[in-house]
Amino acid sequence: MIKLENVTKIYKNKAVSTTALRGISLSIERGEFVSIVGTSGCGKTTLLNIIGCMDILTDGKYFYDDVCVSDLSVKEQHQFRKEHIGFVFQHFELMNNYTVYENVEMPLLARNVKKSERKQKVDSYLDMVGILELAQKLPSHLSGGQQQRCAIARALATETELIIADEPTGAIDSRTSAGIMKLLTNLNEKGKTIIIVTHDINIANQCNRIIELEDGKLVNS
Amino acid sequence: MKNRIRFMFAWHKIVLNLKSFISSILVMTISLILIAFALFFYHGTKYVENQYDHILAKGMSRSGVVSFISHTNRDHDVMNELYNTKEIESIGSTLLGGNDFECFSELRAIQSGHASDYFNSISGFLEILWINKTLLDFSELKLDTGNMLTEQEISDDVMYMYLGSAYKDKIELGTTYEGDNYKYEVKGFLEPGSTWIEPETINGIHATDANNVLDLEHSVVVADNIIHIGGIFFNISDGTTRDEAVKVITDVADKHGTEITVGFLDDMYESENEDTKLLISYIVRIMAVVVFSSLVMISCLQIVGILNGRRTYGILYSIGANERDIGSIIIYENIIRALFSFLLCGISIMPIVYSWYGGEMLWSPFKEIVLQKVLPVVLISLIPIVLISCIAPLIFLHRTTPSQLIGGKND
Repeated sequence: MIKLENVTKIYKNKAVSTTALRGISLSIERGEFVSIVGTSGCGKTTLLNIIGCMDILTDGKYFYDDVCVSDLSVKEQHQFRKEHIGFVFQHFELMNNYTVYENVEMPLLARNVKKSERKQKVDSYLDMVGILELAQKLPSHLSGGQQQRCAIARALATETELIIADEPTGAIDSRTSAGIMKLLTNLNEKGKTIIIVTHDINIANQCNRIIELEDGKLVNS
Repeated sequence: MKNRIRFMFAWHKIVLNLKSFISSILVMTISLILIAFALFFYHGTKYVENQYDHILAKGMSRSGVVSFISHTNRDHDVMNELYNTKEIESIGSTLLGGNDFECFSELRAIQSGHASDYFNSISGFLEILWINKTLLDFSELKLDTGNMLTEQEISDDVMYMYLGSAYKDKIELGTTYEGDNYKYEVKGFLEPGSTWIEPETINGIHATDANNVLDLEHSVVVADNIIHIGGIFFNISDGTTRDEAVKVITDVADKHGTEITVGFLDDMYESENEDTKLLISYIVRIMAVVVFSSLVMISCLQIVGILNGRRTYGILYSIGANERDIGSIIIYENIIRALFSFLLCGISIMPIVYSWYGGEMLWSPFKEIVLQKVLPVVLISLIPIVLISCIAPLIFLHRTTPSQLIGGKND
């Protein structure tokens, strides 16, 4: 499903250039539940951003099925992201001025889904993550775990086969983390391919596969 | 993403950043007001010029004013002699006056409320536009019904009246009114839309005064044989140059020992217009500076807005929005800002325009200058303003990856 060939990412400033990824090559198959681990600054989030088309690689190739994503134009990458990838962020990145319902509805709005269909889908995703009764609340009125569930529901609403989660349990306590991981495991069991970034080895161990990075290099996949 | 949704995001962004929105609107409104005023003065003077050229049979360049420096009993002789010279086609004086003869009560009833403010405020007076009978050709008055006065018909006992179109179905042609010394006879009805030069023009033309043409719909025009205070209007016959006409007039005045000055309406207008041109040039310079600085400020506000809300844009990208969606949200936001500024500009210029005309802004010049010329151009000028103010944020967004917008630490 995902194949990276010798992927390199260099961040260039005026004075300094930092190599975040050094020749990463790996494959991830459809239906896998993968965690990317490593110390702070090892390039985990950079790798996730490249897989999620949120950033562009400096060198190498990124294939998604038969598509060479790294050769796509910026416009095509936006379309590719829309069609294939859902995101969950460490700090949830919900829009605090919109209700839980509206936050989950947004990906459907971006996809021009009809209103009646949107209602049905949003309710089902909120139900799936267990916060249907909180639909009309603002994210700021929810606990961290509830906000992350909302973010997962929003990622589900993109209706993509791949969900990418950057430190999904990083901003919540361990008890709540267990619930979120259980939710992600359930989604994986229902067919979603899930890639998470974490620095917590206990979280990583709950995934099917661990990819370990060190100083921008792949040390274990 | 549907346009409605993009618009909704733009609107929400505005509501959430209201202070920044209001300050940018105020800056843009000032720019638009300056654009509006430059246009207002420009089209205002053009309107006046067009009005004169429209109502004067020979246009401004061949119509002039003879002012008597001191009035003598020879003024009449000067006028009559000039009337008989081939170089002068029509000559005479005109005055807006009033009369409270009882016999005019039915005319007054029709005119009531449609005279000038002064005569409207005096009960019992009929406003009469006195036109020296040799001046009737000055503005090519056209009759709907009746006959134009011929020289043979001039009488010392009868004064002939031409009534505006408002009187046509209410007063019969040939109706006579008995005054103290004269009998007044209705000689004809003017065509609808008939106008006449404001008699006060004799004292100078105000380049931006749109009220220099009298609408004769409710007017009572009386052709008399008197030289009215101030001076006389004339226009030149075809084939005569301005210099020749001036020479003839001064020669006749010298012959009768009368001291006069001669001027042409276009010169009077140009002289008055100089101040307006100067005013416009200053406004345009100030406008250029203000428009430029407001564009810079709005662009900066936009970039600051995007920097502050970059996570929102990043989130939008992550949920499936594309550059077109984000760009549209920014453009909609600018369009909303521009339309609010336009509305505020429109509201702001009304009282200023009204007071500029001394509180006597008429609908016709208002429609022709402000509604048809100024506001549409201001509205069109918003297009480049919107586009330019969108450029910087759009370039910024294009050069920034979604991950940079979200602001991840790239670890």
